[in-house]
Amino acid sequence: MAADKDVDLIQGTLNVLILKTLSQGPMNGYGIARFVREATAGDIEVEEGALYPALHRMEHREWIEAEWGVSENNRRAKYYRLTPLGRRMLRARTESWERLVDAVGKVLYAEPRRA
Amino acid sequence: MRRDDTHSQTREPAWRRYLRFLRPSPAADLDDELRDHIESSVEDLVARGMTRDAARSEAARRFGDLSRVRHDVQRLDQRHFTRQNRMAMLETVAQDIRYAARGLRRSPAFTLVATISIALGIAANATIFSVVNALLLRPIPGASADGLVRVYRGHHSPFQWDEVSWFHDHARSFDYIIGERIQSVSFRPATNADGERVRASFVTQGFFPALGVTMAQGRAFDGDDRDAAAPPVVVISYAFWQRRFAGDSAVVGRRIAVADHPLTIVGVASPLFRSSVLGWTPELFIPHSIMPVLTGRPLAEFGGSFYTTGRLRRGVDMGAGEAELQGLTRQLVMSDTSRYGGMTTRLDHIRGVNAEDRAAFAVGAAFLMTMVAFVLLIGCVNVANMLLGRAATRRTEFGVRLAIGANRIRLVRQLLTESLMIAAIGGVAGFLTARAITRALPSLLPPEAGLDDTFLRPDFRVVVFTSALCVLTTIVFGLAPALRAASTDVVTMLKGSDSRARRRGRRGALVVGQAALCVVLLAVASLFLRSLASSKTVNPGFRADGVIDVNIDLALLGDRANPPATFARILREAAAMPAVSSATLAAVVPLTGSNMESRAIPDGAVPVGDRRAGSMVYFNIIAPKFFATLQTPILRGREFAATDDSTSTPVAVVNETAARRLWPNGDALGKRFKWGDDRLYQVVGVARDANYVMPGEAPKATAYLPFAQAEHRADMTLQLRTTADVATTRRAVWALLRDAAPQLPPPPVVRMEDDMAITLIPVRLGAVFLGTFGALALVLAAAGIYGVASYSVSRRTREIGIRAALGATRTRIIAMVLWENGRRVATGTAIGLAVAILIGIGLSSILYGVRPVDPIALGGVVVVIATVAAAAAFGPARRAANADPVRSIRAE
Repeated sequence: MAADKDVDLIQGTLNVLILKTLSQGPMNGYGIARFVREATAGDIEVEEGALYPALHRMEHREWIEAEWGVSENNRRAKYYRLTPLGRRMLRARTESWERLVDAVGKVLYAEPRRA
Repeated sequence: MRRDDTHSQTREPAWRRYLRFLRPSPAADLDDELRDHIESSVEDLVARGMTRDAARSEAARRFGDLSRVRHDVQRLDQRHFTRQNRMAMLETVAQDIRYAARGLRRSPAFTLVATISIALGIAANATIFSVVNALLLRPIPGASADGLVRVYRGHHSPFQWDEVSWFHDHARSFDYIIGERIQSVSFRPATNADGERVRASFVTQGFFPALGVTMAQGRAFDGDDRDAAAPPVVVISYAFWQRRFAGDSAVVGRRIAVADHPLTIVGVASPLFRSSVLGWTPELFIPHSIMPVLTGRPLAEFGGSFYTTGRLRRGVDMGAGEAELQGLTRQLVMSDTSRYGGMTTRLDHIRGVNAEDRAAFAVGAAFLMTMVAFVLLIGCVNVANMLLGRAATRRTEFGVRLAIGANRIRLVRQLLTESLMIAAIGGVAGFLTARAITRALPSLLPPEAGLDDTFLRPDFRVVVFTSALCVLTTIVFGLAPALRAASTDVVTMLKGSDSRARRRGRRGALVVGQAALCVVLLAVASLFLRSLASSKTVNPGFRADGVIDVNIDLALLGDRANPPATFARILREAAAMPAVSSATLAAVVPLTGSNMESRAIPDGAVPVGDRRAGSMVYFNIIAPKFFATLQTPILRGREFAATDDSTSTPVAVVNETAARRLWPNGDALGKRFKWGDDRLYQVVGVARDANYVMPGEAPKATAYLPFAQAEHRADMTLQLRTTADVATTRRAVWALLRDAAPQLPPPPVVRMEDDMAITLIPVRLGAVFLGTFGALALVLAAAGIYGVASYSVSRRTREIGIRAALGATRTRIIAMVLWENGRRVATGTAIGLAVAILIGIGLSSILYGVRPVDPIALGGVVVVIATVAAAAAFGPARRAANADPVRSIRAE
């Protein structure tokens, strides 16, 4: 886990996006990426090189769980779903994201102070 | 390339996909997951109007480096699964341990008996291994072992001082080469204080740094200490510092008197260090360059008496070191052929005793280790037996567990965990017992053995040995019962009946084995005990009772002694003491462990073929009245008289065996023989054979030479035949010596019988050890016999009930059970006796007064084992006879 720290912001952000996406219902990796792209009108493009490691890591931590299903075209497809732990993580991460945005905003829009 | 990646997935043989139904395959799952991603992407693009080919390449482009993603994720998964597996494994082990602990707690009686059985065996093994470790395996205690090697002249001899310093000065493969020689010296804490005889090691330059010995106080010797002009210095041992100076830190710089020369103490050696030679416990360390000053004799006179140790330079191996020393030896030989002719050098590792003693110790060690292995084996058989019984009663439990899907390997592992716990508890208890025993053991030996309570202390080697032994015992006693328990058919198990008679037969075999091992131990132990007893009654050819020994070493006085005159005066005055009927001097007191041997050549004998003339003969240097004092009859001629002195013809007395061997065809009396030097000695008397080295030994050819004609000897034992007790004699002798040899520390005054006790040490130790092992074996075997008899009775409840119902009397039933048991014990006893006789034949060189087939020893063993076996089986037999036949028959 300590190894994740250095990419904390990006990783953490991606994690929270994935968790949020999965809170809509079970989805495969492609579905998650498409959902994020469409929800942000293409502003955030989730890279596969980051997506799959993140999914697997969260699966190991049991924030999400996977189930094998069959896609419309009869392929084996892996569908991820939030676990109760993942739901709690989503709430906690959302809150801390809001605090971060709030704090950064305070700095960015602070009135210059006079001595 | 990317295309290839996706392509390769489709090329996966179809059958491999089915493997996923058998076990999860993370790699294949990942491939499927990624393929699903790309295909989904392609479908999306096609839906938006792209051609399939364009969509395919676009999807691949968007995905990026597929193989890299796959690699990254695979690594993540791999790490995760490894961690998960490890956790799962720890969890199962913890479960097994909990399960085993619960099982053991639930049957405390079984647990107690089983762990004690193992603990006793492990204690015996760890104790003996500690002894083996100290005597054969351990490097020099208190020294740093790195690169230390022993250097021998010839096969296992010490060197002369000049050879050691030649090596030290010229060998480039070594950081140091040092020698050590031990001898007694007189010591006074101050010039006028009372003296004491102490052991001193004379050591060559670089002794302490070579061995890496640290100093508890002060410093080691330095280069200046060798300088003859420098004030002479001494390092004292830690034990001596504690004993004589009460650990006073002001001792460094203090002047003491050694052989009445002042020496300054410069240091106290580390408490762990004794000597470079195992078994030596010098109290003083003195630079060898001071020897001539202290002893009044030039260094050359000390001969080859320096045991030599080298520290190899870092990175040099023993082969290279040895090759260099052999080269240096050749140079030495060429420099003076008459002095060094035939000299060879070899290196040896430095563990335990010196090479010359190693073979004998190794044989003894192997023997004792075998005996204790037997004790442990008997214990293991007991536990195996109990485990089999336990498995029988738990059969239903196992059956249920197997039926509800527990796997057999898991079951075996749990049972083995239980066994390992028994072994571990027994091992810890056994190790602690061994540690206590090894601490107490040295106090059972005479102080001359020089062992302190740390000598046998178990170190990491003993811990490793004991742990390995625990694992081994687990396998020996636990594996078969565990496999058996898990392999039985579920249906039979659940039904709770087991009709196979084979089982009883196999358990019977265990009793046979136990009885055999037990009989071997008891028989060998009783041979030792018989030997010890008969050593008291065997006639050595002289009478030791009523003789008191005083070892007088005038060399302690160094250059001031005048041995011939002093001894003459001591002998004269001692003979005149009240209660003393006769007095003599002897260089060697027979049966005390020391001996002298040389070649005697009858006058006129010439070498025949390859054989040298004459024969090897033990000898002794004695004063007149030796034979009278020891009451050894002179068969012909006379013993020495005061007139046989340095001015008269050299004379000798020989014993019967020497007379026969040197002059097979005639009377020895009046014949002459050559002896070392060129003088001819004339035989003036023939004495009856007497033991020399070992009580009860085959007669050894022995020659006696008169002290007055022998070259200058300073170390003699005054032997007095007296009616006075030791204390009175001690006072009288010490008073006498205060005048006759004023500077001499008061010598030890002991009964000759006590002096001789040292030759009995191996037999006495053997008797103590084997007696203990035999007793342990007997107790363990009794427990085993009882267990099997009980089991067998419980399995035959129904049969016995039927017999009783058909009119068998109680006596008959008891006899039947005893007979069944007795048959097995008898078979075991027969096997055990056969083995014991073979061992007895092997031991005949150290056992005297007993033959390997000693009817009393072996008969006694048979009586003991029969009695114990009958007693052990009697309880179960009576229980069988007392059982109510009706209930017994209904029981099954």
